[in-house]
Amino acid sequence: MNRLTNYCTGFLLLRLTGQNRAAFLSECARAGIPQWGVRQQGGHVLLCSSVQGFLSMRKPARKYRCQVEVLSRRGVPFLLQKARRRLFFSLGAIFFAGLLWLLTSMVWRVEVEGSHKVAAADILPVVRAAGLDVGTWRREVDSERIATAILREFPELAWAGVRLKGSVAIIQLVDRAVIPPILRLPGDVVAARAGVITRIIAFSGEVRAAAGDTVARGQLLLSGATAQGGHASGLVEARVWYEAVGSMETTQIVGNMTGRVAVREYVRLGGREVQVAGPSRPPFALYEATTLKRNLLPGVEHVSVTFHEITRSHRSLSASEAEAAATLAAQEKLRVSLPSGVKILDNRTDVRWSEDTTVVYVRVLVETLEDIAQFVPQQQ
Amino acid sequence: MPPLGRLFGSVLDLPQDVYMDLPRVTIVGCEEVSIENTRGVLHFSDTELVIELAHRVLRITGENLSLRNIQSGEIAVTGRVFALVFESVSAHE
Repeated sequence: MNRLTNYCTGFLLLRLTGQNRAAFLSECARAGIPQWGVRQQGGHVLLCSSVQGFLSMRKPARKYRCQVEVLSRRGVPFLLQKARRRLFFSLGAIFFAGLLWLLTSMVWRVEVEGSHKVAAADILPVVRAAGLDVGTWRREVDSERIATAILREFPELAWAGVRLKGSVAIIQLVDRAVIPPILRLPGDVVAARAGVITRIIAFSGEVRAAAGDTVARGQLLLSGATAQGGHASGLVEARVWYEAVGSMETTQIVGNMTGRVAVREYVRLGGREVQVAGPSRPPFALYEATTLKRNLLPGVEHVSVTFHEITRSHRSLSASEAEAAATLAAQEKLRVSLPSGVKILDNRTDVRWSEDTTVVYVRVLVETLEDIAQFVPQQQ
Repeated sequence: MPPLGRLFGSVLDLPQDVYMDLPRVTIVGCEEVSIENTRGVLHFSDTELVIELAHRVLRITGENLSLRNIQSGEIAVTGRVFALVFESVSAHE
């Protein structure tokens, strides 16, 4: 703090030479002459004092035969004195500082970041119109107004912001996550399946069926003729029945391989067969054959047929086994036609046997509750 | 110092530098020494400093010694201080 005051009021760096330097310093201190930074350098002593202090040193210096000379003048008053002497230099320095301040308080570059949908080249004219351009004063940049202007111009943006970073204005954008518009083609809603309607709600269009109605597949349920844009949509809940029949014979013929095998090999040349090895006819009454073909040359084919002898046996199924197998077959058929995600209300099976009780038929009936609304675009 | 003054001081529990004209020496690390109640500087160089006190002299030895501040009755020394020795006035002469 003391140093700062000294600098502001100005001080002198003095060189002290002579014999009784210590006595001189003591005398000065006693006389209340301010002195600081006293240090020895070479054969003399350097010290600092105020101008007034230097003038007061004359008397003690004479008394102790010391010489005090001014080495340099330091502090604000001397700097000002210097500046007054070099007026144009000082003015230049002030002008330069002012210019620097002026230039740093301007926007020199406008950057756009953050958007994939809007190009910077499209943003910049809007920003310019809102009062942000190269050369605009930093403090005149109204971030809120610019952001509002951008958002008004580009609805595909969710957010916009302006940030000043030195002399660069950064416009930050955030794209709106756009949900693709639902196509509202003109058309009607018809029944996707036959069923009995339990509930019908039209979102748009005119209702052409009522709850309790039995509708056929393709029947008109909601008409788009009077709706806006001719588009009909709605929810049509209906009870729908699915049916499938599976059958199973109680006596099954099962083929078993005996393990006896014969291999016939021949070469086919054009349309003719030339026997090479093995029997020329299948040697077994009942057999399964597997054929392996190989092209030797173009048009020449080597064929090897393996005959596996089989015996047939009859296997009888019990009534419950046959029923279960038939049910399984019916359910498998149903599974293919039943749409996924429907609510199953009822599931019935109906078992019937043939008159000679050799075949069982199982009918599986499933009742579902589902939305049968299907939009059909209008034929142009 | 009259014995009366010493008695007076000790009864009132006053610090000795107040009533006995003694110096107060403050040492900060080994870099700064400030001495109050001095009479003057007897010798000054960058390795040795002799300061006159009321009844004694204080010899400060060190390196790069400088007087940060000299006022009447108060001296602040900076530099690398090695030793402070209190000597009688006759020993210095």
